[in-house]
Amino acid sequence: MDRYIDRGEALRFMGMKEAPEGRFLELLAECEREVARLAEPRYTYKVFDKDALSDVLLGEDIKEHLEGCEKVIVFAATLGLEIDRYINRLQVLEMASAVAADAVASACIEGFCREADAELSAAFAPLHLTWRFSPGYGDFPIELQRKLLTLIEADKRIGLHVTESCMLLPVKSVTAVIGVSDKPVKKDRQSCAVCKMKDTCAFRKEGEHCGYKSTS
Amino acid sequence: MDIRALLDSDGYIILDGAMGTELQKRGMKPGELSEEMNFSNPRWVAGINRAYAKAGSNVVFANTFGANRYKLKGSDRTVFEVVSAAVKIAKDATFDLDVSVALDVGPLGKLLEPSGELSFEEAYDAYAEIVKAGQAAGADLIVLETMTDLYELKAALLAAKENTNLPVFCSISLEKNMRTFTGTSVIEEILVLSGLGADAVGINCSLGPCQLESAVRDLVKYSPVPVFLKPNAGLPDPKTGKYDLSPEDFARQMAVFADMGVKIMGGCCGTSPEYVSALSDAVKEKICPDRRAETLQAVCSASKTVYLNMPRVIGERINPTGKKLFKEALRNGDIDYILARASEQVAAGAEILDVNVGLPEIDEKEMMVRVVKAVQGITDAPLQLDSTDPEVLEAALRVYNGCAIVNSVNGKEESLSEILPIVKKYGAAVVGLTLDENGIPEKAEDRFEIARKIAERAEALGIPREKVVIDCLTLTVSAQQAAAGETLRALSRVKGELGLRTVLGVSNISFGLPDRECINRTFLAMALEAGLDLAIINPNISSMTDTVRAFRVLGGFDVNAACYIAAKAEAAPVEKNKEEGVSLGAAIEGGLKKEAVSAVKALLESLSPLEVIDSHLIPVLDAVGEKYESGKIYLPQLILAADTAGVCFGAVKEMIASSGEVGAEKGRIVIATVEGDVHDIGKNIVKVLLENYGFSVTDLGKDVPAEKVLEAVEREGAGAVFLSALMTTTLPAMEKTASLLREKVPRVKVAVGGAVLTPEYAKKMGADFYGKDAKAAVDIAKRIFKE
Repeated sequence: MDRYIDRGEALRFMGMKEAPEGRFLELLAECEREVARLAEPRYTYKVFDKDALSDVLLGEDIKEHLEGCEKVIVFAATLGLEIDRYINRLQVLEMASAVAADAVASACIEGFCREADAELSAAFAPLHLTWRFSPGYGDFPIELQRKLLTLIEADKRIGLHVTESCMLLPVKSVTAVIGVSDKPVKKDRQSCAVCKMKDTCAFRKEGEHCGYKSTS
Repeated sequence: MDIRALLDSDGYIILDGAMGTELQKRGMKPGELSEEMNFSNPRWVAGINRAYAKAGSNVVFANTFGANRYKLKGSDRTVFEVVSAAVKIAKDATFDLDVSVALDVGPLGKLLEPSGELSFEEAYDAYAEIVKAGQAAGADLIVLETMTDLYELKAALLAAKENTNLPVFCSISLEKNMRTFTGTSVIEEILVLSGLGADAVGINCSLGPCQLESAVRDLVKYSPVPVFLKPNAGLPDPKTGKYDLSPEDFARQMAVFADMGVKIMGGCCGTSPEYVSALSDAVKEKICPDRRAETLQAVCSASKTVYLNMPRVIGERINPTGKKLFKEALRNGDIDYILARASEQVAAGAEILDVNVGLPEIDEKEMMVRVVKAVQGITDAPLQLDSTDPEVLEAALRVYNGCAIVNSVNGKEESLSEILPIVKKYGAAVVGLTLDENGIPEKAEDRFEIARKIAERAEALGIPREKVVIDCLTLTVSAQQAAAGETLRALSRVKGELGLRTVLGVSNISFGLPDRECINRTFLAMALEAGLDLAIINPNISSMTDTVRAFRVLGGFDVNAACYIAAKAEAAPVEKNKEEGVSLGAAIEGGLKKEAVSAVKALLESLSPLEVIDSHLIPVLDAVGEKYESGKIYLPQLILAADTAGVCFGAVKEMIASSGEVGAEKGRIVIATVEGDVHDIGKNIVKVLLENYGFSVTDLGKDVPAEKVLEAVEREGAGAVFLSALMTTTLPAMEKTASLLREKVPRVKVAVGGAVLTPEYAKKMGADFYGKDAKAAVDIAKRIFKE
């Protein structure tokens, strides 16, 4: 599982621009070992005709994202509940470890999703896939989490739930819509312009962007 | 034939196959509620029920899998309407055939506490509604299936047992690692559910039959009640959703399990009447073998079983007796303090945790329920529930997600008649103290007789001997020197002649003597040799835990000394880090806890606790804070420094508690994550920093309604409220809380923060302050309370 964890990415999630030393480095390494040990990464997806999902694909940004695609993949991934329990346990023992574990787990789910991207690309070749577009990006309403999860039976398949306030549980989880096209699609992640967080994003304040790298 | 008669017969019980797949074949669209078909297309449902009955099912499932108040939220049907309609359809469709109709009950679709937002009690109520409707509609049995959370399944089973008199079958859905998403294996399922009175336990959905073999073997080996299996038609192709087993292959594999003693069988996703027909043909001529299940001598949490097959360590530190800080934490409702005691004991080697929160001035029952729920959320060590009040014990057993040990019953008639029925109802194990109306007998023989009596009374109620653990009671050797020998003799006889497991609280032995640890560990070694199974000790004292570890090596329990070696390897690096003579400032900034505590202890020799705080700890924290402001260190490092300072404050507080000196309060703050938000790491970071800057923080936790915040502010007389929200969807709840506080207590200052919040939005909702991060929150608190 440790192959999913990119330390640089975890540090970036914590706003740290340089590698730490001493005790913090030790606890970071410990968090990496534990997250790798406890994570149970799983993903699931189903393929739909784009037209069949017209009541789910709401907003201008998702429409633009899926331009030229006839099919869409509804995708969900999670690291499982043990990671949440681990982070909760650390919060009562040593908050700094909890912060580090939280960032490491975020890096882990991101790394796992990148691997899932590659597996999906291979499975759907020679068709082309867009990058993952998640509820909450741009004007794609976060309120759609529940509908997306129901469509792919994510609770039964990977144990992924959503709260009344649209938060995913387990916390370290991702849902997304991926377009499938027979023509090459623009692979780059769009600029922060589509992101709802653009006014408050800690990365942007520092002149950076969040952990998503372009997949091209 | 009646379902109970079928259970008693030597034949098999054939269930049905998939409902959802069959409805989709007939035209149900993805995303549509299956339960709606009972009204829009009742003929489809009836046709499926009848087809299964014709194919050989003894039991058909009514189309009620998702008929619960949460999944029906968007529909205009009530649970009662859906259940009544579906049961009637199934009964009418099979009126001329000899089949039973099951009320089919699936998960509620919401995650339970502590990870999720649904409380155990809410889950119970939702299931009670379903099962009552099922009984009223005339269902013959209840099947609780496709469960992935043992806690939810426990709520459902209790609801079924307490609100109906129908037989209840329970089954979980497993992943490739033979555990559910929440970590439960069939072993925990058997321990917990058969203990609670399930009529059958097993597995459904999950995978195909071949992938489930190892779990099925455990079921038939250990389950005292009939075993249930309803797997998928093999594995699905991820791209097309098609399952890979034909009806014949499916039936062939199921027949193997039938020979192993699986009595109740059917199919789940991907199976159809053809599969049921093949299955029915395959076992028609067979007789279900008489399976003799082995009794599991074990206790468990939802995801971990501790076998009582070798000496085990029970951690005794969650107990206020003689602990000032623990008592203070109970009075303040500081659950995190208790959770930290739980975590550190498990890290030190405790395998089971004793939980005692009895304190005269608090509501013990309410606190016990809170603590049990919180502790099982952060550790998988099984719990020993410790109280003298039967009501407290019952409340704790009810919300405990596992098979617990009750501490304790004794030989008094009142105790036996009050405690044992509760132990039986919840399927727990129980500690029996060898004392009675006449007190603790002096002689081993008399204690032995009480042990015999307790075991007999337990057995008469149906509590197996394997679940009775006898405590022969440790007395203080400095007062009664011969008593140690009597305790060990009684223990040895109870173990050898009655075949019961034994437990002892060890540390009582050494009261009044110097170097108590030396007496304790020697007595522990003697007790282990006499046959002690469960040692109740302070696991943080390594010589005690090590004595148990070493005994397990020498007694041949710890094969190849693997556990001993692993424990020693883990303990080693701590020694390596020890640096001498580090200054308090360097230790705190570097996150070196041991060194920081030694530095503080050295200071406390010449300075008062308050002087240490004001002229040493706070200045060090301020200096670290400045480094953060100037970008020399980052927030996680600031938090590490605060964590380390926290340990130092703990040492100072202990000194204050023992000297009786009262510290000046810097200001009282109520902190909460708003309603709807269940992720609260950000709020907890702020809490750690605020506490370490000397503020008194009342933490209301996560998902807190506005009214609760107001109530706490008024009760505590707090000067400030800090609110956190993580999601755009919960900002309205934050706004509501802020305006309620503005209206009712205009004097209180409101500070807000969270990933999606902006200074503008904070202002708009009427907050006094916006904090961009945890350090900003400390600065805000300093400004608020500067006078």
